[in-house]
Amino acid sequence: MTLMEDLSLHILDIVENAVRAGGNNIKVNITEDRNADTMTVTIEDDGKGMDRQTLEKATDPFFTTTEGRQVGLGLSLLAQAAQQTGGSLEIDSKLAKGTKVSAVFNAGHPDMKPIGNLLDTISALTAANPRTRFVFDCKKGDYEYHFDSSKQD
Amino acid sequence: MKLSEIIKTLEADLISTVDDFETDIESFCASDLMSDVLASVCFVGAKNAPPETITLADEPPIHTVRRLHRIGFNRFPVIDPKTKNLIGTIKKGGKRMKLRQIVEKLGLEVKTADEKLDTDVAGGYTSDLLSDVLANSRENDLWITLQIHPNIVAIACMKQLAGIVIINNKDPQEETLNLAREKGVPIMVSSMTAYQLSGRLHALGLSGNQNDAQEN
Repeated sequence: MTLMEDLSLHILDIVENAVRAGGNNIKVNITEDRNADTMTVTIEDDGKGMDRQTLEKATDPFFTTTEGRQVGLGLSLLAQAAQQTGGSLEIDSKLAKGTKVSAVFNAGHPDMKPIGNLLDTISALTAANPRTRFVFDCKKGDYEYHFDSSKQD
Repeated sequence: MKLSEIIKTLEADLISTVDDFETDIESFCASDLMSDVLASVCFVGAKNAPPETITLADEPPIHTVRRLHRIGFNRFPVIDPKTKNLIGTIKKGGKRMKLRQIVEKLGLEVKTADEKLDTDVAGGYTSDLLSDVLANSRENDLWITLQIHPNIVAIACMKQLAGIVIINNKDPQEETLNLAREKGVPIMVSSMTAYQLSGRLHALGLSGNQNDAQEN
């Protein structure tokens, strides 16, 4: 069990949900808004999506769609991480279309977690899921990072 | 449970090297492999047992283990008698207190699950990082934290913690309290800081020593 001291590990957790949802494309976007002092993390997939009932329970820590588990903590922990900075989490989902998880953080809050090592997260995901296309975009001030796994050869 | 009670319940023929039949027994180990067992309170069927152990004679370990399970011991090592492989865990006897006693001695305000106050508390764990609690807390630990989000209930269930004490007089979220009532997780509030409360709990004798338990 990894200590979730930074956002990259939360992101890994949610992207793993996206992988399990099937689909071929997963997009992660991290954008800083300097004026509002917020950081928005979105994870979007084109997998099987959720019906309304499932969506309502998605952030319930006791709800999981993974066999053999009694808790499903990924989304509720991300929601908590955002809420602790005064931010929030939203989930949009349509059956057979996909899901988009958006977490907004107040970047200047003392309890804001650092992004952490995104490269480790990306390597782990692309190695484990060679048939999935992962696109990562990170924009933080002057720092911009773009990764597209379909362009690797 | 007292050794004398166990002997009576099991109707065991005792070959004992223990002096004190009123010793509190926390766990049993069914093992003939000394090297697999680091620090155990009792052995079943062991040869060359150290002085503080007892041996229950003439019964295959797995049957004894099943009977022990029925009388309430649910954390003890099991050795497969054929292969001699360790397939369970050991727990060294440590001091335990009832949650009720801790509530009284430390002046805690009980918010939920007061029917669970007879739970045994084995130690304490103080942390505000949920992933850390998931990784490092042990069964029957009392969790000391300032976190009030409903996730704490899920973690207390997963790790079978004795309960959660919220410090600094923070009010748990209503959703947290409702979930805790539903799942039977005791949540208490203290006006002390995490440091003060941990110190006071430690002073009661619950050392939270990592060496007390060997996890599988």
